[in-house]
Formats: sequence, C-alpha cells, structure tokens
Amino acid sequence: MIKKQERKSSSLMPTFCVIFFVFLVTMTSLVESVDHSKFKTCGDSNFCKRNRINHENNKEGFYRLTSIQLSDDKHSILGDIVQNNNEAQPLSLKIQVYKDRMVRVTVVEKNPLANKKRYHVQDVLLPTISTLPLEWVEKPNDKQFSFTYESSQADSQTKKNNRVQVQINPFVLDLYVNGELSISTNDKGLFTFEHMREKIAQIDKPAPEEIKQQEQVDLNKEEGEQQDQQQEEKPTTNEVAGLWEENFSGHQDSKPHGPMAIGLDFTFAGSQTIYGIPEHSTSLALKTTKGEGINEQPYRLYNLDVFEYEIDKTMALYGAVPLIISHDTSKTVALFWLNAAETFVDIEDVVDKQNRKSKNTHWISETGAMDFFLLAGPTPTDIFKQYATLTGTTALPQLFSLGYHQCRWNYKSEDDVKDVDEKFDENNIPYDVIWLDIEHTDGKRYFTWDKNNFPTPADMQNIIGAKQRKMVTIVDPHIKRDNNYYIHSEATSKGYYVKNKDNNDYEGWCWPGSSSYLDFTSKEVRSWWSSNFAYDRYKDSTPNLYIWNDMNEPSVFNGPEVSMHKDAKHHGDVEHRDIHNLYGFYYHMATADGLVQRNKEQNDRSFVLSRAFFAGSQRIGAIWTGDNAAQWSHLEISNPMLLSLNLAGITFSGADVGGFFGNPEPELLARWYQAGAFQPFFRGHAHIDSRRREPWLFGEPYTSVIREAIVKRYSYLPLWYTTFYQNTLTGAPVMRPLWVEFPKEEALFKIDDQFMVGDSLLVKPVTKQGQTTTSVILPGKDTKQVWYDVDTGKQYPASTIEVETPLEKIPVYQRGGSVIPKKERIRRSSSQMKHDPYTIQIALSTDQSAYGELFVDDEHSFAYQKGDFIYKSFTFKDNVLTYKDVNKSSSFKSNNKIEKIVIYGLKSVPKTIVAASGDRKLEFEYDKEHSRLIIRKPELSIDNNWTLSFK
Amino acid sequence: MMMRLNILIVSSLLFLIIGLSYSKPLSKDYGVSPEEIEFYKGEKFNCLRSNKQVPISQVNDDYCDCPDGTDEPGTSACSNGHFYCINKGHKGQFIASSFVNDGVCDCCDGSDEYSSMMKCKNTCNELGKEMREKQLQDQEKYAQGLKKKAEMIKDAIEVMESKTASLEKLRKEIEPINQEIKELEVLKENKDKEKQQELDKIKEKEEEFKAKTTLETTNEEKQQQDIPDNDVVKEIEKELKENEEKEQLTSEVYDEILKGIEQLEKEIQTKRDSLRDKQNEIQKIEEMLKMDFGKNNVFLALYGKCFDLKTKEYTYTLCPFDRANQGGTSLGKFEKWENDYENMLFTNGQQCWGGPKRSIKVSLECGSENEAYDVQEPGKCEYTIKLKTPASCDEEHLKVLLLENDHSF
Repeated sequence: MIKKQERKSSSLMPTFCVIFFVFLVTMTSLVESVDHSKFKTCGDSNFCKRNRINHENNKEGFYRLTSIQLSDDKHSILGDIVQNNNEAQPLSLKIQVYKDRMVRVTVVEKNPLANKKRYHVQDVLLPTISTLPLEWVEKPNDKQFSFTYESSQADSQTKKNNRVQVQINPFVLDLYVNGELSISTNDKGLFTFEHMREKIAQIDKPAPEEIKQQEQVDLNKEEGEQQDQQQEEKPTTNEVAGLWEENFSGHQDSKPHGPMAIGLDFTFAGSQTIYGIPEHSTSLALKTTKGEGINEQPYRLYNLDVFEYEIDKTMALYGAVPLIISHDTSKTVALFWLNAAETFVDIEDVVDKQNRKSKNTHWISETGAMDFFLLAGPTPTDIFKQYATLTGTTALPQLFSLGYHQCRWNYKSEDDVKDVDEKFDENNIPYDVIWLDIEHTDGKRYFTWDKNNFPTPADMQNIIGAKQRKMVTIVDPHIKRDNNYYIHSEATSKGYYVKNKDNNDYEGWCWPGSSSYLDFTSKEVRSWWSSNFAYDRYKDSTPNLYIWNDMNEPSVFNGPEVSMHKDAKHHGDVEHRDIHNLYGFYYHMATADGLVQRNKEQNDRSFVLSRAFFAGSQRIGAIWTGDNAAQWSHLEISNPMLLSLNLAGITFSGADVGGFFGNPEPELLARWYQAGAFQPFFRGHAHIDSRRREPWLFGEPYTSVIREAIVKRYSYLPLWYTTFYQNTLTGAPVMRPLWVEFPKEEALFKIDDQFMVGDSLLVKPVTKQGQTTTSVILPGKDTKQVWYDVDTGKQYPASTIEVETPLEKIPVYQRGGSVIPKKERIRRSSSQMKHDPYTIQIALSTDQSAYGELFVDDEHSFAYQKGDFIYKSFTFKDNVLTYKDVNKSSSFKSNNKIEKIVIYGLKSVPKTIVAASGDRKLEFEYDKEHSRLIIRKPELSIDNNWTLSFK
Repeated sequence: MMMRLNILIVSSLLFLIIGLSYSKPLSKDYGVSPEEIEFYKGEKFNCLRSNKQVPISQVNDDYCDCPDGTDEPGTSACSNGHFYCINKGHKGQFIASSFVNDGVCDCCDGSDEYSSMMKCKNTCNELGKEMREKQLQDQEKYAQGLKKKAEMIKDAIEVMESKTASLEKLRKEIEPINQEIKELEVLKENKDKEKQQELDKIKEKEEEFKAKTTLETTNEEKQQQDIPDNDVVKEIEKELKENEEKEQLTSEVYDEILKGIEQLEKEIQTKRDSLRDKQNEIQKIEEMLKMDFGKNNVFLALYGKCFDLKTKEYTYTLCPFDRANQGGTSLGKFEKWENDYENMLFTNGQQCWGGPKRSIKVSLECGSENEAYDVQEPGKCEYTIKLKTPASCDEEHLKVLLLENDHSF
C-alpha cells in the first residue's frame, strides 16, 4: 500500500500530525506512475552489475570438478569444485535425486570463514520430500559421469534416457529427458561464486574520488572496454568499490560481509517458451532481456512496495517465486532456484549444443547458498506435481473465500459497513466478505479499533455474520512505537523486533509513523504473533473475522527502495539481505497459524490475504497483485500476471477489481467484474482518494451487468471448489494457460488473454474499451475438440471464432467432454448456498462422452484431511451417466440433491431416462432453442453413487 | 376491501398450516401477492411474464420452470423470482426469492423461513405498531411541516409581493433622484460660475494692486540683481503676494459661494449614494427574483439563511442559494437544483489536494424545522449533507402516509 503515500488527511478524517504529513508530501510523486529513481536496476545493484557485465568478458576461468564420491548412504554425489585460477578456495558440490524425477544441486564454500555463513532457505521445502539412492548410468571418469533420476524400478533404457550427464571440466550438468537434452547447467560458463572473504583494512573505505573513478571505469566496461581482472588476494580499489559498502538513493548499505554473490546459467534446450518467476507486470511468456539488439533490464526478484507500478516492466514487485518453466512441443521442464536474496534473471535466445533454438537464463543472487532443483517433467502436469511435491499445494480455501469480496480503503464506520451490506441485499447482489482497511484501527495500532467510528465491532461482525457473511480486517507487520501499545511494549521487552546493524531495534516509517518490524523469521516470534489472534487478545474479534496482511515486503517508507535496510539483522544473526524475499512469507504464515489456533478445536481453515509472497506461500493463503490502477491496461495485464502466479503454484490469487488507484469508468468497472468473476480470488478494492464504486453506483445497465458477473461466479462455485481440491492432489493451477491443456499446440504458447478455469471452462475476458467483438481461440483441432458457449449452448468446433461482445457478454466456453457441477440458486452469500441443490452441466465431446468431478465437504474445516468429504465423478459414456467415487469411498453425508442435469451436444434425444436404483423414470425436456436436454428434478443425491440410462 | 381482507385471512391460515409442517407440499399460491393470487388457480399455470404454460403441479414444486420465475413464488428455486410476505399486522412486502429459506428472517411474519434452521418470531405486530407510530410521527411531522410550508408559501407571496413592490417603488424613485441630482448639479454649476466671477473680480483688484507696486519692485529688483540667489527671493516674494491675495480673496461673498458649493456637493453625493443603494437594491431584488425557489417560491424561506452543523472536527455552514463551508474551507458555491428540488448542488469549492475541487450535494427532506444534519464525505472531497425543511414536505406524500396508515390499521 505505498499507494497510501499519496494520501492526504481527508477532510472528514482526523488530521495527521504535521511531521507525518510533511513526510507524506516528500514521499509523494505527483506523476501518475512509478518513480524509477527509487528502485534499483541491475546497474544500481553492485552484485548484479559486476556479475552481469563482467561475464560478458569472462576471464576468471571456468569452474571444474576436482573430486567425485558417493555419500555413505549412496543418496548424494559429493564433489569439489574449483575455479581454474583460484584453486585455494574449493567449493563443495552436492547432487541428489528426489522422488518424482527431480535433481537437486547444492554448492557452498568447502572451507567457510568462521565468522560468516551462507544462508540456506528454511521452511519453504516440505519436510516430506525424499531422496533416492543414486544409480550410475556412466560411472565417473576423468571427463564425465552420468546417473539416472528415474526410480530403480525403471528399465535400463528409460534410466539412460532420463539421466543427468555431468562434465568435469568445465563443470556442466546436463539434464536429459526421454533422451533429449533439456536443461544444460553452466552451458555458457556463467558459474560464479564469490567466495566469502575478510575485509582488507587499508582499502577499507575508498575515497569518494576513487568511487567516482570506479564508476567511470565501470561505465567504460559497459561500453565494452575490457578490464584486466586481478586476483582477489590483491584487490584494487576499482574492484573493491561497492563490495563492502554501497549507496543508493541516499541510503547506505554497510555490507559487513562483503561480496558473496552467486550466479549460474541454464540453457533450456529446444525451449520454445519460458514462463514463471513472478511477480512482474509482464506477459505470460517471458521476454528476452539480453542478446543482440536487446537492451532490457533482467527480471528482478526482490519483494518491493512499488507505488503505481507500470505495465510490461521486468522490475520487481511485491512477491517472488524463483521458478522458471520451459515448454516446447516435446517436453515441459523447470528450474527452482531456492534463494531468498535479491536475484536477477536474464533471458537470452541461444542455440544449444545441437544447434536448436533454445533459451538461456542467467541467475544472479546477492547472497545465500547455491541450491537449485531441476524438474524433469516431462508434461505440464508432471511439473505441477513435482513443484507441489517440493513446496506444497494451495491450502484448500474455505468456500466463502471463493465468493465475492467487497473492499475499500476505507469503509469508515459501522454505519457505512451496515449501509453497504444492506445495499447488496437491496440490489440482490451476493457477496461474502466486507473488508476494513487501516483506518478502522486506533491510530494504525493493529488489533485495535477506532472506537469513534467502530464503537461496537463485535456487534457489527455479528450483524454481517447473521447473513453468513464474513469480515476481514487488515493487520500489517509494522508496529507503532508507542509504549502504551501492548503489542509494541511486549515485542520490545521480549526483544522480538528486527535489529538494525548496530543491534538496536530497527525503526522505520510506515502508516503509524515511527514503527518497528517484528522478526518473523524466528519461530518464537511467529508463535507469539499467532497468539495475538486469540479472541481474548484481539479484542472484539469474532469467529467471523479473518485477516488481511499488507505491507509485508516489508514496506518501510523511508527505507532503501521503500523497504528494509539489507544490513538489518534477524534471528541467528542473519542479515536481512539473506531472507528479504521470505519476510512476507513468514509473516503470512504466522498470521494464518494464528487464525487456526484461535479456535479451541483448531479446526477452522484460515483465510489470510497477503501482498508479499515467496515459493510455498500457496500453502498459507491468498495473494493479490497489489496496487494496480483503474486503467484498461491494468485489467488486461491481470490475466498474464495471475497466470504466471498460477504456474508458480500461487493459485489462489487475484487482482483488485476496478483497479486500486483512480476512478474506473463504468464500462471498465463492469468489464473488470466480468474478468474477476473468472479469476481465482475475486475482490473489488479502491484507494481512499477514489470515488465510491460499489456495484450499484453507476445505474443501469452497469448494475445489472455487474450483478450478472457476480451471480455467474456464484453459480460456478462448486466448480471452483472442486478445482481447488484437485489442486491439493495435483498441484495443477486453478487458472490455467491454454497450453497447459493443449501442450502440443504451439500457437497457444504465448496466449495470455484467455485462459482455462480447471480443465473445463475457457474464458476470454473483454479487456478493451468499447470492444464489440473479440476473437476467441478454441483449441483442440487435432482431437476434434468441441466447445459450447455457456450462455447460449451453441456448439463450436475447435477454431478461432469471432464473437459479439456487448457489455453484458463474457465469452465463456465449456469444453466438450466435460461435466461441471454448479449451483444456480443465488443467495446473499456462498455459505447460504450450502444446502442448495446442484445443477450438473454436461458438455459432450464428439464421441458423446464426458467426465467431471465434484468435491464436497463442510466447506470450512480440516475434516476433509481425515477423509470427511465427497469426491465423486460424473462419467457419461455409451448413453449411461455414472456417478461414483473417484478413488476411495466418500464418508461425508449431505442432504443436497441434484435438481437439474443439463446436457449439451446430445446427437439423439432419448425416449426415456431411467435411474438404475428402482427403475425410476425421470422427467426431461429437450430445449431446442439451446440444443440441450434438461432432466427435471432427478432427485439424485450427491453422497450416493448412481447411474442413469438414456434409452 | 372486504375481499382483500378475506384473502389475507385465508392466506394467513394457509401459512399457519404450511409453516407448521413444511414437508408437505406448498400451496400453489404461497408467496403470491393478493393482486396476483387469482392466476394461481386452475389446472394449468401460465408463466406471468413469459410465454410458457406448465401444469399447476409444477407451481411451487421447488423447481424453476418459468423463465420469469413466476412458477415458484414460494420457493428459492428461481433466482429471478419474488416472494410476497403477507406480514399481517404490518404491511405486505416483496422479497427476492433468494431470501426464501436463507436463514435470515426477512418477513416479519417469518413466512420466508419455513424450511431453514431459522426459527423466525412473528414481529409484525410490534413492527406494525412501531411503523404506525412512526407513520403518525411522520404524519405529524408532515402536517406540521405542511403547515409551516403553507406559511412559507404565504410569506413567500408576501415577500415576493413586497419585493416586487419595492422593486417598482425603487425603480420609480430612481428618476426623481436623478432629476434632483440634475437640478442640484445645475445649481452647483451656477454657483461655480458665481465663484468664477467673484474670483475674476478679485483678480482684477489684484492686477490693480500689482500695477501700483510694480515700480517699487522694479527698483528693488535692480538693487538685488547682484545677489546670486534671486530665484529664491522671487519665490518668497511670490508667496508673500499670494498670501496677500488670499487675504484679499477671503471676502465675505466669496466665502458664501464656497459654502454654497460645498453644501451642494454634499447634497449631490448623498443623492448619488442613495441612488447607488437603490440600484444595488434593485439588482439584488432582480437577482433574487430570477432565482428558482421552486413551486410557489416555497424555498424562498431558505434564501439568505445559513445553517450550521457541528461535528467532532468541523463546523459546516450551509447557506442555501449561496455557499457551503467546512470551517474556513469552501465546499462550493450554489450551482443548481437537481432531481426536481430534491438536491441542491454546490460546486467549485476549494481545490482538493490531489483531488477534485470540493463540492457538496444537499439532500432536502421534509421536516418541521429547518435543520442541517448528517454530513458525509462518500467520495474524496465530494460531500453530502441533509437539510430538513418544511419546504420539502408535500401534500401527496402525506396522503400516501395517511393511506398507508389506513391499510395497516
């Protein structure tokens, strides 16, 4: 919410203290876009500059393997790596094979210095991951060796085809998939390992002139002039500048540990497109940043609160997942770079050893261990499964959180909340959650209430709760430095704050003014933080209250790049630079745990929305794409941004509907609701300076169009819920790029303006102003795929079609061969729909078959983890519709019935439809207008198996 | 009236039966308003607002057959349907079908929650009582307001008449004053002439006097030619002479003339001031008469008045037809009426930091006194305020209120 720096004390609001106001003014850029001078490019980050540029003229010598051995348990290959010109500083290499076709490589100093350490990312990998014993394909010789990543049961040819081939000198590690070279590690020889070193006293602080001189030299280098590199033992001032101290935008980074960067390149051999490394406001298919004639900034991963971010930039945003996925018609593979420090990724079009068009990616991280996983796929489904094995699947959302969320900075008072809540009813628009932003607190002291405007918060929550709706309040990680504030006084006395470089509590400015930041990397702090959500600690909180975590990059208004100083210190003397990208993840985790623990039974799934994230955040809760703007371009970019997040495991994600900054014209708002209705997390939100924009404020036709979009969302909730459950089994994205479902169709690889919900709905949101027609790609020509417009039932063969898109039209198509569970009765909230009957929507393939699944549980608890659920499938085949358990039998009991079965694409209308149990003949009609057969009130239960015969 | 009452009783009885055991099928007209109940009889049901016929057995059978949702008046099956609560003791009401059996008591008679877990109390009698009391209060308020309004209209007529009269009067007064000014100016001109003549006379005398003294001075000048500063000396002499002249000029006649002129000037100024005042007055009245004070000029009563509203942080001042302020900050000048005299719009107030120019929308409503209340800022620097005033009470509304009361008793 650096968003909020633009704020001025609104005239009805209490005036801010003068200092804060002055501060805000100074922080504010009046231009309507990001202030680039605040954020680093590669050239501004010394480690990136020296590694990205220097490697253009790599003179340091290649790294080579000097010894190889198998560990005692035979699960690891251990080796030494040395640089050709630096044999005195060997590195330790460890290679492991993980179950499900993954290879892990770790490199650290063999002889680390006693007073320094390399940080290994904690708490991201699941504890359940397991290694396999190594099996040679070719035993080590002086040139190379290879081993398989297949399990021991595989036959020897499979093992050979699916192997890792390691070259000794220079060190190159090649992953083969089905006999095809797929990922070549250190292909371009960009392996870098800045060995930890002691600071040399006499060149401690280069004089300013020297720095200047150095900068000039570096500039020269960028222009291509070559510099003779010298050995690290005798560093020149030129080399030292920026190594032990670095300045940016008036902030000094003391860098007490000096240079410890790592870098490595990976060629994705034969790759046609690469995806991933969110969060960036760019296309789904990653663009080339390096190479002839290309002068882009590398993709940057460094969680930042970027005020008014721009579209199509590789600059860092609020979260980071260092996962890159490569796809071509023969395979899908991936790389997971397990590092939480500032990281840059360059992408270059290259040719591989076999002269095939390929993609090289160059990774540079400021600190931390070199630790990465190669995921061997070979299908998109396999990749999702493999990555989920490492970092987990999405926490199954409580059903309510898949409904519509109404947010604004700020709903000002209990009356305001009540009024908005009632207006939803008056306009017959469902919603599930109303949100309170920072103004609801007493002076931005989280866990407290502004008692003037919210005198009876518990009553307010109960009123909302009576309609089975929920409330969300914001709780941010910056703590107001006020000795009378219990959170601050406890945190101070317990020593729970992040420390600055001088070991005092770190202080920075944020919403409350002077603030400190809790050190969530510490388990003890997290546990204490969680305890603050107990009902007796968080006064006036009720079970209807859930939480929103903002500003957890962390955002520090007066810090470097609006974040924390890198030399700040965390638990265990770990520098902030090491864990930066993990801070938000840990914070999110502690909050979500708090919501689970607050209930005696600890049986209520949490709901916490976070802005910052890292790999694994999907296990914790929802993510949104931060402070976007009320512009058509921001609506348009929401699809690729969410698709990227989904590919990287963060499936429960959304963008602020309407755009956070500014005022959307009604058409934009309506179109945004239509897009949001088919994106996983669906929340309308607005900046405090923007005009009110609740769904009914723009009159007709907009109110109806928005209502219809929201109603559509609610009707498909059983599909959403089932798809999220499927994700817990498969890791597959809920919102999918088309190529995931049609991996052989090259024309789809770069499509990011349309997408799939699960494997059955294709959506092409209208994202352009005044767009009266749009073309929709309906894939699957080779498999004779057909599609059905969900509004009209009209059938289309796979092709590119031109469709009319009047304001009320959302182009959505059901895939032939799929069955979608729906609920068509609309209620005030999703929880109110719990006992409502289902409608089953069947779209037949050309061979008159279809398949789909339904997941049902209590919609809110962890009981499903103990098997208390219904997970059944619908199969239509040979004129029989069968409903039965997907795998084991379901134990959950439900009185819900199926009230309607709709079948599209039947070639002949049956004479009778008979339910096998009791030979009951069902009532049905054929609706010619929509070419569909409707079974009326079949009265079939959802917790028993059944079959229907069409005769 | 009688028939309606019968239907009410019948329906209530049906409700009781159904309400007690919901497992039995719903009656076909459950959730139907008295006006439409006749359509729910017979063997077939024609969807009320779409072209489809279904057997009566499919009405209220918890499955939506009609595209318009009218076959399921009593269930939640059609998401576009409506449910009618009879609310005996209170007043009948349509709710969305989606509110039927959703666990929220929407009808005060509880008829919408016949098969949910929610046990709804019948609160119609209490609510009806409250409503009637409120209606009585409203009636009272309206009656009072209308009384005041009548006075306002009467006052307005008087004010308008008196203003028009004063305007006429003022306009009439202008010409005589102009005439008087003209006359006075003529008098003054004459006096000026007299003054000139008198001056000429004095000058003549002076010339004579000068001629006498020239010879003496010439001699003196000759003597003084060697003196370098003779300019200065000349000056002094000149002054001395003028003083002498003046002494001579302050003849009694001349003084009289001057006094006369002064007197005339004063009189002219007074007349001009009076003229300007009257012209201003005319302009003001003309401007006022051009303003839109609504039907019968009823809002004239608010003209020239200001209303203060104190909140925790600010005092808001609202001066209808003129301006609105938040303390010292301008929220705008009166721009126009909107929505048939329901809203007054004030725009072009002080520029908002990073936002629009401030504006405020005033919602007028019937009240027995003029009173501003409930100021809000729903959008950044876009304010709303409510103003109760008898001027906004209308007879039709009171009739509706009275009618409603008739119904509810």
